Amino acid sequence: MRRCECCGTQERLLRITDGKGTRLLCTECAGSVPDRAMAAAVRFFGRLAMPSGVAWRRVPTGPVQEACPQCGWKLQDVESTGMLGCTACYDAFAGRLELVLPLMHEL
Amino acid sequence: MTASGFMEVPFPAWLRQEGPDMDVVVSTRCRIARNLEGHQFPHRAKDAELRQVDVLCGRAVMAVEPRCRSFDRMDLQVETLEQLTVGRFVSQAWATFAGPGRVHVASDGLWSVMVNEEDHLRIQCVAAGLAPDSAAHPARALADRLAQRLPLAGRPAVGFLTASLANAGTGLRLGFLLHVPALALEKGFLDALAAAEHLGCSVRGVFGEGTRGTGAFVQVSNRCTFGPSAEYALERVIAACRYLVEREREARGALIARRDGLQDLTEAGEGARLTLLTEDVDTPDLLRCISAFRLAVAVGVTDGDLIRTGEWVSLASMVMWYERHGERGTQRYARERALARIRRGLREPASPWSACA
Repeated sequence: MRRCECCGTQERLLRITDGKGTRLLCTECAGSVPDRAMAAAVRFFGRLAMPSGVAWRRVPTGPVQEACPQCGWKLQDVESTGMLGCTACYDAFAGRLELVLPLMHEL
Repeated sequence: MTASGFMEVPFPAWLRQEGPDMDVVVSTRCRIARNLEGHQFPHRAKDAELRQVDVLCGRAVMAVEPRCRSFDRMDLQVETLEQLTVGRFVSQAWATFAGPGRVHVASDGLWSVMVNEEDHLRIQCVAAGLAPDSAAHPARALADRLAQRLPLAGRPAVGFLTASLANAGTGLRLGFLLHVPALALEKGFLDALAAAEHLGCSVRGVFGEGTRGTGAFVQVSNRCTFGPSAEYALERVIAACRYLVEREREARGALIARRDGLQDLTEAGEGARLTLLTEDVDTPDLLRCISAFRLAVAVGVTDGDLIRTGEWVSLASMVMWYERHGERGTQRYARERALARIRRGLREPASPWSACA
């Protein structure tokens, strides 16, 4: 069974392969281990496809739920990462997204 | 299968033959993101759900294309992962994430489907040169066929749903990898890139924010995937790419027209070849050498295989990733492997893809 080498959890593992072999750590442990490579990998993964330059705070707030009833992803998570948690998030945060999406994708 | 029993990574179609405008454009990539309705996105899903998505997507892909080859991310040899990365069948993001996932690669090397990357499905097709149709048609056709077999997530007001809002709508990203070393020497370089940005494109240096010192490879892609402008954005990114191609050719013409211009280019190309063959170059020099050699081959002053240089750019990209995110030993290991492959390509231009791993 594949487990985090630090805490033993089996979820959300990151694998770093180098000339010496492969290490497995969960995202939480990888972030706290004083290992430059691991920390960099976690940062890299966390930055993926984050939209830039989106002025979330300037957008008027529509009627939206604060958290997705399906997965628990919060509106502030969306604001800080530009990512949604599941497909139901699109329904939960629809009021905000209908304002933000056109701004993000304007030509 | 290889002699050692591992499944062989197909020869990438984009490295098989030359494409249009390949003197400037290394490759065109079309990537389409899709997700399954009712599932958490990969960055949130637990392994059990990722496994479920992996199975559902795998069945659909195999039903559509039974001859494709599948590689389990949790059971990959380092060499196989390198082949998949250099062949651009998988992204660094897919390779980094260790949860359940798979990549399905067409037996002819034309497309790949990454399962559980940032989205549940990432369909990717890479073509040589400036060939938007060659990259987009197979990817779109495959996406349509998969849509008949999978409950893909979509909403009328949005289009296709993706994990990142930056991809919502069509989920389609069309990107061009350009080699613009002569243009990068000109004062108007940044203005040219700004013009492309103004057309609604995302422009970035492949090997860093500034491209002058790192071989002058830039990536141009559409920024907009949402709303009625999405299709228009694709036309614009193609137009921006053609504009940059023309500007680069003009700049090359000016370089050649200078006194001793041809001789300088020849010496730069041959010097780069010699350096790659004999010296333990660091990463910035590796990029400069690949760039100088590619330019000399492209303008016809040095013998070489322009297609093969595409593979080297991909290798350099992998090395650069390790340079930024790996530890010291990893960086050296990646660079040495890359150099070994490049030397083999320089000495034996006809060496097969499978022999490089």
